[in-house]
Amino acid sequence: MVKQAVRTFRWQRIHWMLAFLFAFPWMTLAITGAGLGFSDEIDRALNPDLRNVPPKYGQPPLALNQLVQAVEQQLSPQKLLAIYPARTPFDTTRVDYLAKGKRGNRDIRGNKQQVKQAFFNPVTGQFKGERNWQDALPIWLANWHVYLSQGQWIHWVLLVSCLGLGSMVFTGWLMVRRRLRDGSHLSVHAQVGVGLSFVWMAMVLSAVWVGFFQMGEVGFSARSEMSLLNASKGYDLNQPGLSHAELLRLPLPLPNEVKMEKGQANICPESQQIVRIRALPRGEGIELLCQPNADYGVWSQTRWRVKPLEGQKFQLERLPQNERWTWALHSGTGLGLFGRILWVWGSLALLYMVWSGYRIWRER
Amino acid sequence: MDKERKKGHSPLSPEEIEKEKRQSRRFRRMGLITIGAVLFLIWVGSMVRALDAGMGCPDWPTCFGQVVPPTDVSQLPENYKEIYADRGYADHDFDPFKTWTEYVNRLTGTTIGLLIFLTLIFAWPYRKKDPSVWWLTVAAFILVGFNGWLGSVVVSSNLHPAMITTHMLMSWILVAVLIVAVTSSQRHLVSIEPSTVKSLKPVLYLAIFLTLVQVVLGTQVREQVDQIAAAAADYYQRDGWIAQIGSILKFHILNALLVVSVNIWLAFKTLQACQKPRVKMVANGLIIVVGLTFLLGLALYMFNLPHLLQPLHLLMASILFSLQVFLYAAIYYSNKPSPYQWHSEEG
Repeated sequence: MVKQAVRTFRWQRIHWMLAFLFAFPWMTLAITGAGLGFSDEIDRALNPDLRNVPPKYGQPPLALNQLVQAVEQQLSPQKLLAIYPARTPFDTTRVDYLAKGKRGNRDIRGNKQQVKQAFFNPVTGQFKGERNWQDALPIWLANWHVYLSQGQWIHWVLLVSCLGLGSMVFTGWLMVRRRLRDGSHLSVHAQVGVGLSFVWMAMVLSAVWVGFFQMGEVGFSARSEMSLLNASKGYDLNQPGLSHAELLRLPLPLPNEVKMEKGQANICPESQQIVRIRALPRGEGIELLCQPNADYGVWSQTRWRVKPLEGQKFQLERLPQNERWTWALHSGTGLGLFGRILWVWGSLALLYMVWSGYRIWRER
Repeated sequence: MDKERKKGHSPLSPEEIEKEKRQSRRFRRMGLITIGAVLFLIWVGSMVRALDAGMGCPDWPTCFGQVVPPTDVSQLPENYKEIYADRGYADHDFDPFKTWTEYVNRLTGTTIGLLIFLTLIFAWPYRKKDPSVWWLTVAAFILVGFNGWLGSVVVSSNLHPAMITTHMLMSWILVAVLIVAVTSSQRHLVSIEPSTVKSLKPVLYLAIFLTLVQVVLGTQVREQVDQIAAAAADYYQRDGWIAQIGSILKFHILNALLVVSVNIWLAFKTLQACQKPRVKMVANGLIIVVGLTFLLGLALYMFNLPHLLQPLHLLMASILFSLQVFLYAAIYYSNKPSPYQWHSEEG
């Protein structure tokens, strides 16, 4: 009896200590995470002219060679980094490129450059406008979410606080179990905690996995591009850009009529489309990334390397696919829009938990 | 002493009780009118989309730069196609029917702005005695403003499907907040016995959960339809669209069966357990509305998505959700003591 009481007391102490230690990082993670959950929509709402186009009924988007010509006309001779074809008839096509600027990192020659995002109408090729990459809301939020806009060391602090959150959920469960055994009433704090604990655990486990094993490999979506986000190191300005000539020689039209070497299968599996075209490091060719036409329910992405050879010959190689289960779990997108909404509520509920937990502690 | 009386800690005079009753009736009526108007707006907004009239007004808050939109192309500048090229007018002509359809939608939205303002004024007497009513109404007032802004974003995003979904979901949150506010203020009329509450709760929670999943699946189906429509040559020729919608439609149909079953179960349980006439009315309404929603969904599937049925399907789903929220609020407030003395007498 006494032993049990001591054990319960300790769990409670640990629960409180963890809360005091990590409340601030949790709150920042909760706010920025909730924002990231709908950052695409918010960004779209704040930048309607950049992100949206009126659909052209019955008109297909430009073929890649036509699009590249339009991009070249506008951006030449800048170094193109990646192209994100419009996913729906309502979206613009995004092109990331390097431009000389006042802020940003230095390239190998010491020139100050910064990554910019340019937006094009996918049907007409019309230039819609551009912005600095750092000014994009998803990037800005992600920078705070992962680094608190500081640097790599904060990233590790946040990862440890994630482990703290996992422990918090665990100790909370032990306390709830004790209450249930005693037949005691569960407070709203405990009810919310139990109800959302699986969401937090999914977030924590995936965050820890990504933080330790996948940072720089994958992103919330093909559009947010976490690999560009390594704030402490800066973007690798010395990696090769997309060569216009190479792009123009790609087997066209993309996305769904590129044939594999064997058989007649499309380069993207059925119901998927190319969501990103980018240059691979060290001149290894061009990477094509396929996924379903949404950020929802994406558990893996198919990757292909296209290496232009002489003339019109190409070497096609299937690269290891991007395992996106971690992101599907972390952002809730694995369960579609419903999961995304639930995860955002889960994030916001963390703020309530900190506040209500503090009140309970004060009362006791 | 006066403060104590306002908080309900000391008996009130008959005149004061009568005054409170008047305030309560006034708030209830205005709240219900506002809820009805928001549901009507959801239907009108959906009609705008179904009639492909969303860009009937290419700017916001004015329409073609005018407070009252034009009825004829001669009232527009000659280069209007150039001015509004980014809003889809480069290859579309001015259509007064579409413009006025969208304008009616905006007028309805403005009316709701006025109605919610009146509701807020009528909620003022509650701020001390029953602050939850006051703060919920304040939240609804803010939500109306926010959703109005979202409406402008929907226009400026050229009716992006994801923005339409966000706009619609916010409208549902608004309806839910208003219903909880009104139910909270009228708890004496809808309170349910504690023994009944215990048996209803799990079924109600399951029904709400399944309905919310169904709504989200429905928005995803609609987004797919929007994309298919945008790629199609003729908006009204919809043969073969159903086949192009992905597997999400199958989930939507399967879950529909669950939603119907659980809601009918909930309605029968409520009818068995509860004697309050208003609660019984809601339970009967639940059966009718869930049935209609299902039949409309079936008709959409069977007849290649007739565009005028989509708004009705959405309206019925919205009413279904509203009834569930009402039941939830009734159950929630059944356990809470009322700050008004006369509630116990009337209840």
